[in-house]
Amino acid sequence: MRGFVARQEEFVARLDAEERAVLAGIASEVAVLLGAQPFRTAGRLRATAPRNEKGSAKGDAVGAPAGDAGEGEEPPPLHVLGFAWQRPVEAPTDPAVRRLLPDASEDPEQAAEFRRLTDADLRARKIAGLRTWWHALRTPGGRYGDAVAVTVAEAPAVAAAMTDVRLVLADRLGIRTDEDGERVYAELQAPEPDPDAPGGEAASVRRAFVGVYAMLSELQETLVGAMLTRARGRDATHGPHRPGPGGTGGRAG
Amino acid sequence: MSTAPHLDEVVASDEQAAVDDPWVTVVWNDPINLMTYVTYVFETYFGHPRTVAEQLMRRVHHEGRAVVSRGTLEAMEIDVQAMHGFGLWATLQRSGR
Repeated sequence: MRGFVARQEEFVARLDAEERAVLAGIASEVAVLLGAQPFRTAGRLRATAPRNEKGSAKGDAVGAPAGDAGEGEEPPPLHVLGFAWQRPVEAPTDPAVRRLLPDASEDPEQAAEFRRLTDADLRARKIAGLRTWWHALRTPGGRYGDAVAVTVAEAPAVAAAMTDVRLVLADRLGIRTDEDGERVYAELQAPEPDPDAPGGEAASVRRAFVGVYAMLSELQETLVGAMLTRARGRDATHGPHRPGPGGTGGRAG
Repeated sequence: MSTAPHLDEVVASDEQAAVDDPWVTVVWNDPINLMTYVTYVFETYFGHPRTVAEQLMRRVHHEGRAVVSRGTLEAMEIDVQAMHGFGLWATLQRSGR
């Protein structure tokens, strides 16, 4: 993996096929937690992700790999690994979904009213962002076919999608405090668990998810860093703006 | 710490603000969100200068929460929804609490 760097009107990371497949699979599974159907490639010619006017700038077809083995073939669902993170979709019961769609007020009545007005819109926007990220992962380009590109217009939604995935992973990894967060990164410094030892398989699975969490942290850090550098350059000539992560700024209700 | 003269305007005392802005948006600390990302949200969504955004981010991190905006209930609902869209944990409450 190489983190995101700015390149003209897009941000580009380099991820190998396995990294892309794992990240795309998790993006899809988080979307499912939010009530979406699992993401699928709609066809050979066009994917389902909404494209913006800059969409044609990404991943020129000439440079794309001729035969991405992953295309049209879903990565293995992660829950077959025995990791209990694919839980029922009901928002209030699953703590991870609850964190993605938290109570907006300590007043239960106000929180319920807010949820009634915003829940569908927030879910739809989060799912759209996850789909954009998923699509970027499924359509790598570049000379080596490992360049994952996110346009400037897509970047805020993708950065938010990375947050949502990390929030879900963190819930499943039991990260509740800042100290837990530090400890998780320390786990990566420890020797690889022996999968044949007692409890070793679970340890190996956890280790794999910690690795994904850390990878996403690095990807988000580099993407947002590049976005900030770009925004700060623009703010020299533009006034403040208040775009939402989905870029619409709209509001349900 | 003298580089952010606007911060106190942003997060003026609750007593003072209760008169004009009856509601506030509070962002809560969590162990997952990156400091860079929280700064990015405060800078791009609220339009704060970098120094203000970074101080607000540190206030969230160290104090566990920070008031990030003030206004009418309707305005705070929009801000809280936006924060949830970004993946930040935010609530709205009456000013002065």
